[in-house]
Amino acid sequence: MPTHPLSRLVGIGAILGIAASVAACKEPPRREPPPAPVASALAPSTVALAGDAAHGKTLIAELQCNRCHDGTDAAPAPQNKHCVHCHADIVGGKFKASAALLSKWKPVVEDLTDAPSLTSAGKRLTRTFVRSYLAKPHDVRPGLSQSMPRLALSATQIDDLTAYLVPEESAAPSVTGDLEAGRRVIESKGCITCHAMTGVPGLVASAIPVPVTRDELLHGKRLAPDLRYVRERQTSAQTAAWLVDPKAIKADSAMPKIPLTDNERRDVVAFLHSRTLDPKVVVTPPTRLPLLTRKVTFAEVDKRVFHRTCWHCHSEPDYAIGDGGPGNSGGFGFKPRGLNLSDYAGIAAGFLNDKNDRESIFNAGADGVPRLVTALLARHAEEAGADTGPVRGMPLGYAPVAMEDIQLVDSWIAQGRPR
Amino acid sequence: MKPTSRAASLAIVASFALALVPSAASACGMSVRLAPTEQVRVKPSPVLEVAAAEKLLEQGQPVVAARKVLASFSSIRGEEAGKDPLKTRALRVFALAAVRADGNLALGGNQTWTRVANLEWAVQSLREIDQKRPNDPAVQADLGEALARLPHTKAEGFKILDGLAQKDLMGSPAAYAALSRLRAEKGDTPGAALAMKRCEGMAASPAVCGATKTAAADPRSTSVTALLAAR
Repeated sequence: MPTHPLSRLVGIGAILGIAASVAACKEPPRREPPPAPVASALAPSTVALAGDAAHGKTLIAELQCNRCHDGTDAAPAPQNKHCVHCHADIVGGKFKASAALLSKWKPVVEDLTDAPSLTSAGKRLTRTFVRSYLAKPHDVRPGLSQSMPRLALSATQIDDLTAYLVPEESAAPSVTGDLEAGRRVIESKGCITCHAMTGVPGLVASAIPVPVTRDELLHGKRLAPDLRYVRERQTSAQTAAWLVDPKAIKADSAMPKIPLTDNERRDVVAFLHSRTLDPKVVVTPPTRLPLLTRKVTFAEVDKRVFHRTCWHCHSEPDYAIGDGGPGNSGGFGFKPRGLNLSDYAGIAAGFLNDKNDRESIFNAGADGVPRLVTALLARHAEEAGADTGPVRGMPLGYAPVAMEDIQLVDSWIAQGRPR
Repeated sequence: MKPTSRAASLAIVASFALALVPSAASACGMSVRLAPTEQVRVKPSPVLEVAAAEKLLEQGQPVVAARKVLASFSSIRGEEAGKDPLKTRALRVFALAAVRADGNLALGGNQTWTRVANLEWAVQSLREIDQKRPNDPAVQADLGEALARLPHTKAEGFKILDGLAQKDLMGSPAAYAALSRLRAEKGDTPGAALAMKRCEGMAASPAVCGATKTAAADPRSTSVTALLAAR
């Protein structure tokens, strides 16, 4: 089946379905909340409307949201600035490079070609969620390797962005339904093929009841949110409307339209919004590893950390058409920090602190930990849900550097940073 | 927790994109990293030439580095800093090559460049780069190293280099070698030894720290001078 970008009906696990299947009825009884119809746990948001939507729109441009997200109502960033499009072009074979090189790169960037579109955010997200998510993003899409970074936003800016993204709050009444029936629908309509729902053990995946291509399935699995967060992100009315036809709300949605009866839809909504969730797994951030006693060279650290991870955003402007990346020349709302991690001299040259003074990234903080190591450890803490305050975990929005590699950096610094 | 290697690999991929396909590299907007084993081109791109020249400079081969720059930017001497990023980089490499060759670097055409003229030109070029890219210790270290070569600018060079060293913001072994020389001239023997130790700790080749004193004796100087003069 030919694939059109806008028809990526990715096989996002359908969230629908007909009533319980015979097979489901034969399963051993589960410990579920009472299956009787219940009210949705969340009423429509009652957050007072605040914020300047017009300013929020300008912030979207200033913060360069369009370097990753489509659907911002702003033109996409130029190709040489658009992270996701550039990566997608490599995977799609459109990047200007030889076939041999493209085939070499494709497997590496395959997982970095998607970011959720912001199209019609106001029809599918609550203001409360958008506000809290901007202030403290957390991973809601387990299939995506990158996650939303914590931007440098003031409370007013967050209000303005929220007002722009969610111009109106839904006043639709809550939706009620049968939780047990909702579970059966979710399990029989392929939802779990793409979506996870952490906090609800034992959900069964099934075939998606509408045709999807392989590419659509892969795309959908990458973008499918953890259903645990549906109740945080939407009102029950928004979820119900979404299930009628996702693409009617968000044309570029990866989720296919799956036929559901009104009752089935209500039951699914009830399950998603009211089913008791197991507590989130508490992740303890790993602790700093002891320094290595063996000799560590710059070549080793560069290969495993600087060149492998840091340098893509902290590069040398002269070699990058004047833009050293957001971590050097500024971007995503961050001021230019002048931090070049592409070579030894650049790394030694430090960064511009808040007073615009140069400071070494090796300077130790009050706890005696070098600033660079603190930033790398903070990313682990962020992933564990900890508040890292003014310290932003690095690499921003990406998976943390392995503890063994941080240990390598730490040891290299302690050894006097030999070349 | 997601695999770190993905982001990491992306950086590597982007680097190759830039290094190997300059036009495509621009599309990605990221930096270049020389990866000699990956290149199979008959004629390297200007990006590659400059990156290779920089590497040669780090390895203590200033004259060969200068020749590399000239291969792509034959009129580098007249380029204005800050107008084009890659040309600015090429200018920086060429100026530093002149400094590390102790001024013994002849350029093409009918011009005759004495040692002092070369060093003066290098100082002015690096000063211009510093003005276009203020508050960058890497650029300041280059300028300080150049200033240290001329008697009338030594004091300024010392101030820059010593200040950077005090703040631990200097990653250039050649700059540390220059600072070591200047400290020794001032009678600061322990300071000179300390700077030399830093140089030796970060030099790509042990010769770099000593080479800054004797670059003029580079056996390739003569032949390359002739080569460049013939351009």
